[in-house]
Amino acid sequence: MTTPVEPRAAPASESSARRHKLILAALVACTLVMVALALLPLGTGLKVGLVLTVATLEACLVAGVLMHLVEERKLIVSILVLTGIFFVGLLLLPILSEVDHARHFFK
Amino acid sequence: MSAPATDNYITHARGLRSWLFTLDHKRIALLYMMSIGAAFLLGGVMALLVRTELLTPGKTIMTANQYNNVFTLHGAIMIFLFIIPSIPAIFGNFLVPVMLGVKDLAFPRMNLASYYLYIIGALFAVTAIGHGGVDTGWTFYTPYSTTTSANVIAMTMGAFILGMSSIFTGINFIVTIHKFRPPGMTWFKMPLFLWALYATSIIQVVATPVLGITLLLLIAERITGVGFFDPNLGGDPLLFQHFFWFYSHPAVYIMILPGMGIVSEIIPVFSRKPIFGYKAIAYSSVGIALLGFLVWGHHMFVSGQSTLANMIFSFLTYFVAIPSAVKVFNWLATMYKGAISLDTPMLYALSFILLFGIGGLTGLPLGFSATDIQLHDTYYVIGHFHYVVAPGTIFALFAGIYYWFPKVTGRLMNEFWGKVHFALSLVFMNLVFMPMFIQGLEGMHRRMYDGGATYAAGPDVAYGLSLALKLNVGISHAAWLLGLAQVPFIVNFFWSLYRGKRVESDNPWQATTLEWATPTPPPHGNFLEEPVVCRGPYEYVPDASGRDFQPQNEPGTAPARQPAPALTPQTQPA
Amino acid sequence: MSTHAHAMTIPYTVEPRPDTGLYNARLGLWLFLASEVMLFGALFSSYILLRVGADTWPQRQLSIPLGTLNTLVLILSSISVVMAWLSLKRNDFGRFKLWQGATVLLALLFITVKSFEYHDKFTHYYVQTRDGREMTGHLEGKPFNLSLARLQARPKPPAEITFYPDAPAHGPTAGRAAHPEALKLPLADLVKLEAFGPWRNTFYGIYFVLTGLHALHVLGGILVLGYFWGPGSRMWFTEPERFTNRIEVAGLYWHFVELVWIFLFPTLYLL
Repeated sequence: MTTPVEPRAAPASESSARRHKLILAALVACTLVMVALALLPLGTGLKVGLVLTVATLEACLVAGVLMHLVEERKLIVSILVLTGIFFVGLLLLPILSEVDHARHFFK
Repeated sequence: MSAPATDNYITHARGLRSWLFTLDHKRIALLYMMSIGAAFLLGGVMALLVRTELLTPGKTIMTANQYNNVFTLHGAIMIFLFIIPSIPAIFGNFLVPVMLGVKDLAFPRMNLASYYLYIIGALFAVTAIGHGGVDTGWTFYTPYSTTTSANVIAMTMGAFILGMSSIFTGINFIVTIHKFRPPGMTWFKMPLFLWALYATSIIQVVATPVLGITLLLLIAERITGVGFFDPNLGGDPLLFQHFFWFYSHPAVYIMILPGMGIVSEIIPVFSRKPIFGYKAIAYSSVGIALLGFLVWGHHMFVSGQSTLANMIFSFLTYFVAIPSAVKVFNWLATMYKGAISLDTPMLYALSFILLFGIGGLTGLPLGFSATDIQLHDTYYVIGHFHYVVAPGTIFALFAGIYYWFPKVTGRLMNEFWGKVHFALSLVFMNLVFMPMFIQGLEGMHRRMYDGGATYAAGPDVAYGLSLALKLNVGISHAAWLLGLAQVPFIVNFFWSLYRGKRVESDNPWQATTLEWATPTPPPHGNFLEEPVVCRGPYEYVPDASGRDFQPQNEPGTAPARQPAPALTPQTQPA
Repeated sequence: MSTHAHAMTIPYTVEPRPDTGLYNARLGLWLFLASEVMLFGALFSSYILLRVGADTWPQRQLSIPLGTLNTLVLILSSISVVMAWLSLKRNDFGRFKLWQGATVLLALLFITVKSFEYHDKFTHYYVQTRDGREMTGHLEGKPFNLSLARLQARPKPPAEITFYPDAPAHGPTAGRAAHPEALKLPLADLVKLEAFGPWRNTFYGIYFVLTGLHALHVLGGILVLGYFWGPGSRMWFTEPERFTNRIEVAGLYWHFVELVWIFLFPTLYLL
């Protein structure tokens, strides 16, 4: 069996177990915080903003740590940045078309 | 000329199973060619039916409902089953590994899967023809597409599955081009065809899913009655148009970029000159791909979106024309002072430049939102987009076929009949599509069963409406002649497969790129050993042995670039 | 000259290419994930448009406890799929089987909970009577996806239906016990009877499409992860490094599925 040429060395057993316990705790905590925020009597805009921020944080943990993106090669990260730009554009698209409609001016 | 004694990819294994379950990219390319060719014929038959109906204002051979079905099928089949897959699936699959000096693509099994997804998608689409038809136009606009009794679901499922095929092909090409370049082949020593396919693959991967979702929502609305696109139920028909064109505009660049890549390959070979502005052409391919994502709204100038949106999209549309123009100028500069030989591939490549140019220039009044109000949904639009795909992409496709036929089969196509095919196609293409601009300026609406007779009561705008209506007859005749002009090509193609003149060398066109450095036709594994690239892909400069070109992988005895001979003044003989 | 090209193989299936530092499948999968980002992005985009454009938007339609449970299930499965890969990197095939198996079981649990949620929606009904009353609730016997048209089309349509309205959320009777009074509604009085399926309103439409597509991806993941747990794991004994790469790449896909859920859950359940 050839030795792996992976640039990342396999982490030592204990620190890896601890790392994953930490991540698990962080993800569970984020989830519970999201639920808690949603149940609080906050204004809609603020609630949406806060909940989605926590969701994004949770997503960054999954992507960065579990999917190894923090230590991933530049090529992959640049593909994802490009995709992210397209993704944001796609999300903005309906907002732009919605504020567009003439009916808003006649409301 | 004796039969070749060497084993090649065609003789490597025999039997139907060895073709249907092959992992060899070359065989998969040929499988695609047969299926896509069949799709082209089917779409062409639809076109001829449309044009026959338009010979007279009233009923000629079909009812109005049938007409709606026929033009929809012409569009959907030509776009989804023919032109979007054509060059990437056929030429890309065959040539990408060979131009890179490797055995196969990065994911051969995924390549075969792409092919079968294409077949399944095509079957769904063809089912729609037999069961219920589709009469919405290939753009499936709501609310008609959510309410018509036609078999929208089969056609859109077909398009969805075809999209998956497209995405997998794109992923395969991107990984292969990143990872498999041989030693010495940096990004800027790659053939420009690969740059074109790389840019195309980016679009395929990023844009196609959006179409998938759009069609999925359409299917959901038809099946469950949810009102994504129905304002009465809280939806928005413009949502459909925005998402549809978010894919379909970049899709037109999927249609044209590979064709431009083929032209970039052919022009240097038949001008015996290095390409002018390699980096400009490479960057412009990626530029077109990226800019193409920003302009979809120019299909929606009269849809009810705001003036602000119209302005922004119109402004951005003019930017995307710039990289295309860059390519045209670079091709022309390549030919300047070259030793041009007018073989059939070169004839097609040259006419591509001219006719794509016409298509591109006629896009300018459409991109300008003020004039588009007059021209939207008229025959002017039909003339514009047919010029870019028909004398555009299809001519590039023909150029590629004539050029790489020897590589694929080891035989040459008949040059005389190739030129006949070219001349006839050129003449009839223009006779079919040029008058459409006049009809469009007259205001003749597209997709209308009566061929514009509705406008007969209105005031004459430019050339007299009776002329515009009469043009229908001329166009339809020319369309039939254009169809007949393909017969010499089909005969030539199949005849040359078995009886064409065998190539005398592995490199009949004396080209420099790596696909010509391997036996013709290639063996199963393409190369016997990994080539090492020493120079750029278009070094059509003399070397020490008197050849006027230096292949990419040959070390050569002369430096890669000869210094220009010093200009000596003419001296009188003593 | 040799007539067989035998020396060439497909490079970089296992060892990474020096300048990119990647093996083929990892690059290929990230590109695939890029296309999936656009796929779900288009759906989220539709959601935004529909919500922003709607006059009123139904909220709190879904069970938050069940949604939270499913989120925690997926988080656990993400950790377990990474542990499976790490086990292989430490040459512990037994542990790999354990963790991979746990991942598949957790994924199956997710699907089970989701099916339960879907079933609940299709047995929950909205009725509208001729005199303008609108109520939501359950029907006797909890039939699956009944509709007025289907009832009327029966060979022997019932004269009346037994309806258990939901307890109202506000007012003096709010929070009453979960066995409300049964209402007998004559069939002739009904104008509308439909289950809470995608047709109910655009919220349900986008809910079912989003979670349905996500569930299909979960099922796909179950198939792939299950295959690698079962028959596919034989590759460990012949090409261990290639197999490890496959597990890594499958894990990346699974993490993406979880990522989508991380946004689905607050969007549909909480906000």
